[in-house]
This record gives sequence, C-alpha cells and structure tokens, in this order.
Amino acid sequence: METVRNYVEALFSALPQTEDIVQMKRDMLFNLEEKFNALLQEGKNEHEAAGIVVASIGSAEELRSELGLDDVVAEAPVHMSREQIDPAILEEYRQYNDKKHLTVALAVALFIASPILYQLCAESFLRSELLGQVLMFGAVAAGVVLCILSGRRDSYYKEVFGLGGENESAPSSVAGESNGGIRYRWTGLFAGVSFPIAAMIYLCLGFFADLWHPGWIIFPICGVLTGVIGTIEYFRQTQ
Amino acid sequence: MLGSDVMRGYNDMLILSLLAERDSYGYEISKEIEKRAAGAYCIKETTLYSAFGRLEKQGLVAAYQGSETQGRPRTYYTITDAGRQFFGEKCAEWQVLKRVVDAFAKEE
Repeated sequence: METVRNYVEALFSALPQTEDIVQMKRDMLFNLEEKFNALLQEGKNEHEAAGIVVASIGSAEELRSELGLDDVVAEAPVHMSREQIDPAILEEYRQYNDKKHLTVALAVALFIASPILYQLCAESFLRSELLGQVLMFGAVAAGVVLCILSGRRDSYYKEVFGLGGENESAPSSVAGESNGGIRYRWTGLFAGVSFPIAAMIYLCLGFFADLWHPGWIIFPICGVLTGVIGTIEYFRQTQ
Repeated sequence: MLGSDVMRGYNDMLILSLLAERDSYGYEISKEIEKRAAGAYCIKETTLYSAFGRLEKQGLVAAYQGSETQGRPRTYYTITDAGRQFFGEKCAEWQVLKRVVDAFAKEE
C-alpha cells in the first residue's frame, strides 16, 4: 500500500494544493486502500495488488485535464497557490527560459569552436601550440560550465515552483519521468561516459606511443559528438 | 477496452445511473461500473474522483459521511433532484447520439 500511497502523493504534488484537490486526494487514497485490501482478500500478493491498483489510477495528464488544469497556470508553483505566485520570480523565470536556448546554443558553439581555436593558434602566425591547447580546452570548459549553470538554474526554479512549470507543451507526467524543460538525458550520459574514457585513451596514447599529437583530437571529437547529441535531444523535445 | 476519451461526456451519466438506484461510495461505484460494462470499460480512479467533485459542485449529487471503515467514515454520495433530471437528459441525448452514429457506422 505504501507504493500506492507514494504514487498518489507524487501525482498530486504537482497540482495547486487547494482544499478541493487535497480532499479529492484523501478520498482517492481511502478508496484505493479499500480496493487494495479487497485484492489481498482475493489472494493476490502485495506486489500484484499494488500493481493493479496503481494501473487503475490514471496518469498525471488525465488528472490535469479532468480537473481542467491544462493551461499554463496549472504549472503554477506547488509551494505557492495560484493567488500567491510572486510575479517577480515568475517574470524572472520567463526571461531566463527565453535565454536558455541561447545558452545551450552558445555552449555547443564553444564545443565546436574549440579545435578551430587550436588550429588558429598553433598553425597560423601565432605559432603557439600551448596557447592553442589552452584556448581549446578553455572553450570546452566554458561550454561545460554553461551547461552546468543552466542545469543548476533549472533545478532552482524547479524547487521554487515545484515540479513542472518549464515546458510549455505537454504537461509533465509527475509519477513518470520527465520534469519539464529540455532533458539532456542522453547528452549528459554520453558526455559523462565519453570524456573520462577519452582522457584515459589520450593519456595512454601519449605515454605509451608518444602520440600526444594527434591524440588530443579525441577531446574535440567527444565535444562535438556531445554537442550533436544535445542538439538532437533539443529538437526532438521541442517538436 | 474503451478508453477514457471515448467515454468522456458519459462518465457522469454512468455514476448518476448507479446513484439513481441507491446511494454508494467510490470503490463500490468503480467496481459496479466494471461489472456492468462486462469488463469493456474500467473507469480510471482519476476520472471517477474528479467526477464526484464536479457533480457535487454542480449540485447533481450530495456527499455525506457514512459508516466507518479502516478507521474513517466513508464518503457516500446520493443523487439530487437536479441530478435525476440531468441523468434523464443524458439518457435522451444518448438515444439521439446512438441513432446519429448508427447512420454512419458500417457493419463489419
């Protein structure tokens, strides 16, 4: 029954906590418990019963549309009810949201630009490989920093507003996975895996085969691939 | 198995139909709907409970606390006169709807 209770709590946590809705949640939990016990009486085990009960509940989207909460206001903060939204924070958030795409684009541009910077410095009139490497890694690092900062701001707003409130398209499925916004799940995964591996390969190539050059090229390759995956995820999630 | 969007517009009517026979509460109503639909429709809990809220707000049903179970009194629902009237209207609407759709449906 705990499983069921947790699911219901999660489902309702993204909604404005008005008296009606809280009462509805209580009624639902009460009756779901009765259903759960009835299933146990029939001989089902706890897991089966919980599964059946949860499957009969419905999704967050259905709940939202049943309650007529489909518009943007539905994404209003959990901790603030509809009347209490601080307009200043909401405005701040809207501005941030608009610029978020630019931030992402800038980060990707930095990733792609990094090897170009190296080439410019090392092979052109400046003739400085060191400067090229510094600028290249610097560009990659700057791009990563932008991504991290953007992610942190997302989390901040998510905390302030409660779940959801970022993606203006389909309302998020609370009990499910997505929490609104552009989720760079695969991008993060790929970057997290590929860069450490790339570092390892680079060091091996360098120490064992003295291939520092052209071994370094593995980093910009990872950066570009990460950027590509990120762009793909971005476009897939905004269509 | 009928989905919830197909049944939209008639969920309220199903509930009112059962309440017109006798007072009942959430879990009992959802069980009865599944039984009478012979398994072709299982009303989702979210649909059911938001329907209760809506019907009560519209004055078509009234809620009261009934016998205790699991340590808390159960919320029972009873149909009101306005509810009976609305139910009648929906039944009439269904007859019209049935005729209209039948005029277009092809037998397989």
